[in-house]
Amino acid sequence: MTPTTDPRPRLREAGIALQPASDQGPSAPWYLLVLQGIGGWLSALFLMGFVGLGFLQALENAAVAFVLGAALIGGAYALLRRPQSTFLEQLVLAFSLAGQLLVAYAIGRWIDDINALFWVGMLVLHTLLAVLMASNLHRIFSTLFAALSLFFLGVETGAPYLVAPLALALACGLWLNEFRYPLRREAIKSAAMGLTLALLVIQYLIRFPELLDSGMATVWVPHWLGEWLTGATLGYLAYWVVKTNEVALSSRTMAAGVAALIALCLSSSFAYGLTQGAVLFALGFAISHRLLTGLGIVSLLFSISTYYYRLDLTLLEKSATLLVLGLVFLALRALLRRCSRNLDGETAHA
Amino acid sequence: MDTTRRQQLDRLIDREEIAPADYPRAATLLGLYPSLPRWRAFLDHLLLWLSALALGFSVLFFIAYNWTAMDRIGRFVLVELALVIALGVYLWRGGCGPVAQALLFTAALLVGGLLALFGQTYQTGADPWQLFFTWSLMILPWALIARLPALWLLVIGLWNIAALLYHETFNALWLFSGDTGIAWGLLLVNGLALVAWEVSSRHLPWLDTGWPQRLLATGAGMAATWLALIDISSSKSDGVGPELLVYGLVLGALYWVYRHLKPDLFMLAGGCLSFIVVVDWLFVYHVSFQDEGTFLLLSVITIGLTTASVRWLIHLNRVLHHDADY
Repeated sequence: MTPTTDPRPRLREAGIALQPASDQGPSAPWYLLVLQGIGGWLSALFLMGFVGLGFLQALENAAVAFVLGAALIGGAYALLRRPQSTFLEQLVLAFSLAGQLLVAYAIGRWIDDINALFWVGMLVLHTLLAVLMASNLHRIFSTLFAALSLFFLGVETGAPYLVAPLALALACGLWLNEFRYPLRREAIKSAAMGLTLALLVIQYLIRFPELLDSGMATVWVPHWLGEWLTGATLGYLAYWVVKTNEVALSSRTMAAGVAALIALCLSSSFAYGLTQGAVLFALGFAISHRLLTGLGIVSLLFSISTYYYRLDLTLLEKSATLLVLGLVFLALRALLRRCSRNLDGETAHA
Repeated sequence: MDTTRRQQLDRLIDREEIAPADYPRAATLLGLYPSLPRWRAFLDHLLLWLSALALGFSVLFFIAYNWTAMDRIGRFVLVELALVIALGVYLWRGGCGPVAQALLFTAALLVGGLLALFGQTYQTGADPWQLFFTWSLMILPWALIARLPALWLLVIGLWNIAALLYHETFNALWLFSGDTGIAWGLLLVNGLALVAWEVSSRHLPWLDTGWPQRLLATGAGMAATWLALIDISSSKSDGVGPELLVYGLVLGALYWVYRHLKPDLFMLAGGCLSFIVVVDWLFVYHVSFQDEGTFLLLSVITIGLTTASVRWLIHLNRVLHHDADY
């Protein structure tokens, strides 16, 4: 499963013209981005300390804080337009994160509350930064914060259970289409990674029922609708796999697939995010992305512990849900094995 | 060095060997998108593991509910029956293949359920740490024969939990007492487990999957960093305490092993991050914060250290890729 041979001859044979290799080094592995990200956050916090102490009196005025924050973000944006280096990217991250904290502080003071309007402001700010800032690391952070702002907006408006499935659908769409716009591939990947990380953070936040109760509105979107939306994302993934493999499905196989999906949606109605990890895991496999597969496993393990501590279901109800899910998974496995031969026949005809 | 399909493609793209318009075709040709037979095998494994885990946790949750409508014998029969079925199928399958492995893992979870049920029913008065430690000992023979890394991680995870709970109960851990006791304990458990894993994986290839070592190194590294932070923040730290000394040794060993013996950038990146945190903490505890310039200095130091670390790791990444291109 881990090819070590030179892939170039295969590409040439298929008619892809290869250019001479540039001396560009390999792209940084994900854990270097994590190192840069944590370093950036620490620097930003110290920078905030400097700004906070240095401009203590001036920051009493929200407008000054806003202008100062906007200046830091603007400076970061301007720096990113120059040829990039590791130092510059680190500096930009620290400037921008400190600027974002100041802008958030200013908006909070203007509104005099942390409410839905505040989170709309944060959502707009981070979405703009995700689009405008020409740094992969910054884009990951901005997309992550935008998704978290959307989650808190969901808490304030009574729809917290919709946000994670929505982020999952968006992440799935971006990951599966990373090559659709080749020149924008890095930006798409960064946004997709930001959304994926947001899913894990939201999974952690949902662990605290008092957080969900802290919103102004009562929860009006039922949690099972979120599970069904997760099921719909899984359906899209299945459709994509069928399309990519150029399989012409018979109406009978299609009906069996739809029935299996509906059975999965129904059985996971009270699962509170248990299926999200499985979708991430499958998504990682679909695009041969090891990190994504690993995050899917983390999400699965995380969700089972979060599920245990949920207070709105008794352990007996949770046990019954898991029992039904386990049996549905077994039935799906049996169905898959049975369908395999039929599918082989259909592939041969396609 | 093994390279995955995605790494191969990324490498070609990084070196601008493929025109952007050819990315999608190259991705398909290099097998980035699995074929139907690969999907079938994947889904078969995924559904098997999901069902095994869901059914195993279903029994555990049921025991935790302590349902009074079911009598004591009934609950024991339920868990033991599930355990016997899981082990029976494992033996029937000859202990080989994914079905046998998934069921042995589920059986290992059920042993914990059985111990919890025993404690719940007979009010043994045992501390929770004993439950987790006994659980790990009971499944240890299975881990020895199963050739399943996940089962070993479960055993080591249980040792971690047992150490945490023991320290919570007695405010000490073996020879170590006080605030640093638990950090010493976790460093020993995870550090020794990592050393044993790395040594064993040279003779047992099924252990050399990479991610368990990284997980154990993260646990050991966090404990070592924690020790260093405690040493720095304790009042006695005018000189170098034993905790900081051990931290230095751990960092040195990490560099020697994962730079020279078995190059692994993940481990080195973790060491760099730990070093940055410890240096920042040193400044935080030894510099006055009356002056805002101190914050600026700390920010600059953090940016400088992070940049230097990342540059060094990127250089190493380039060297390692050059040594083993494709």
